[in-house]
Amino acid sequence: MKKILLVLIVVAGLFWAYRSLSGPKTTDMAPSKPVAAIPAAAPVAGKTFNKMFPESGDGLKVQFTQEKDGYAQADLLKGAKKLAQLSISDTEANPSARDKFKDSTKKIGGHAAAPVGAMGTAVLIANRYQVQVRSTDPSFTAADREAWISKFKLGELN
Amino acid sequence: MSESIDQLVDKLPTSGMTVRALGLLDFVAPGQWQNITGFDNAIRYVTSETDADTVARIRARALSLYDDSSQGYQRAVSIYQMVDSAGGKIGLASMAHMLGEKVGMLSFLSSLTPKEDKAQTVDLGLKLVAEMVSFCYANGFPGDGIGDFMGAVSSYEKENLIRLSAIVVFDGLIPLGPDYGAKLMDAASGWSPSDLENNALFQRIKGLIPGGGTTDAAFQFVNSGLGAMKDYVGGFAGARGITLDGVLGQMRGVIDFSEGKLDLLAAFLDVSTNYMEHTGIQSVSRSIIERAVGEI
Repeated sequence: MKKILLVLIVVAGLFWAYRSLSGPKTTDMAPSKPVAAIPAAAPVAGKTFNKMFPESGDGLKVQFTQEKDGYAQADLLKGAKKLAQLSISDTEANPSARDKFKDSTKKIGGHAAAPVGAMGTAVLIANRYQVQVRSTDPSFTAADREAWISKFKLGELN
Repeated sequence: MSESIDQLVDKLPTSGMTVRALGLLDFVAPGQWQNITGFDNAIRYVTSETDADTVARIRARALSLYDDSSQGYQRAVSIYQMVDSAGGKIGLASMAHMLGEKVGMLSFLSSLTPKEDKAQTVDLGLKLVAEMVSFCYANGFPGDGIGDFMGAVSSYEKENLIRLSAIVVFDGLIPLGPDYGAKLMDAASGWSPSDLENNALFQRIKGLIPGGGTTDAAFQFVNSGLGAMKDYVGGFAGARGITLDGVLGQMRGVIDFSEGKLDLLAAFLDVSTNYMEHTGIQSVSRSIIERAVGEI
């Protein structure tokens, strides 16, 4: 199984390289748009968020899984088991996401915090960037979510 | 855009040949795939959220993301649909009587045209390429380099994993035999642009393959990718303990087929299932739902 996955990765790499060489020919996959076309509040590229995610360690692996404009997502894995989903989103793309923080009295690392449904906990940084940790396994508690939010490099989002 | 993602997920069948065929692959990846249908069900399944208001907010954001064609999700679904939209599909109406019964292939013989090995290897290769291109449209290029990206793909599970298994078993092992990997290698090294141009699957998906504007450019992309695969692709079955006898044993419980006519069995699976589209829609909906809950 791993072999075929590795092989598929090679194809993806070729695809990636092709995109890099040929430039954006379709709007779908364009990694960025001409500067002149970007509105002042356009979501930032998801790739800029990657370095702000927690590091793998202590038997847990942070595995990036999705990256789009204004959004980056990773799984927190213990072996093959997915414990949590980690994400950073630019709320410029969905400003209503900020509403839940308005009346919040809870803070994590000095930042306004709020639940997202029953399984998620989020903080709002610089009134723009939402960092969220979601439990995907029952063993991963609300306290674990708060602890992992603190592991993000929140200061770099200001 | 023809249909929204909730419409696509809502209308996924809960039974029928595609669902039964995918179910047969459970032994390849035990417990990995559940046939989740209905968009709200998918939201609850992916996020474990049950509160109606929360589900509604995730739904609204997910629909908005899918509706924006620049996000790539529509294109990913298009590729999965095009891979499966063969002209010779057996209509759903004629499949209705198959539910819960053992399927007799004889009644469909007039609809079945076995493919030559060469056409079958081209199909196998193109489906593998289509899978990877769709993944990129749905998920972008997560991480900061090929190492991170490799990790994302290596984490294939659930709908993605069952679809990959189906490609190898239904389009590799059954029609081409245990040496399907070697046959793919030979094919990949010997293809010409005209082999692709004459392939019905290529004709359907070439517009969505990088470089697909011209056959030569698409050929270069496809052939380079498969050339890199040639040392590895045959290892899938062995690594998973999948044997032809084991697969056929599973099939016997569902389909009546003749032992010496595996090309017909493959043709039957080809025209009677749309596993790429079915699981592809489930995979793309998962990607959108995961992102939507991260953004609300």
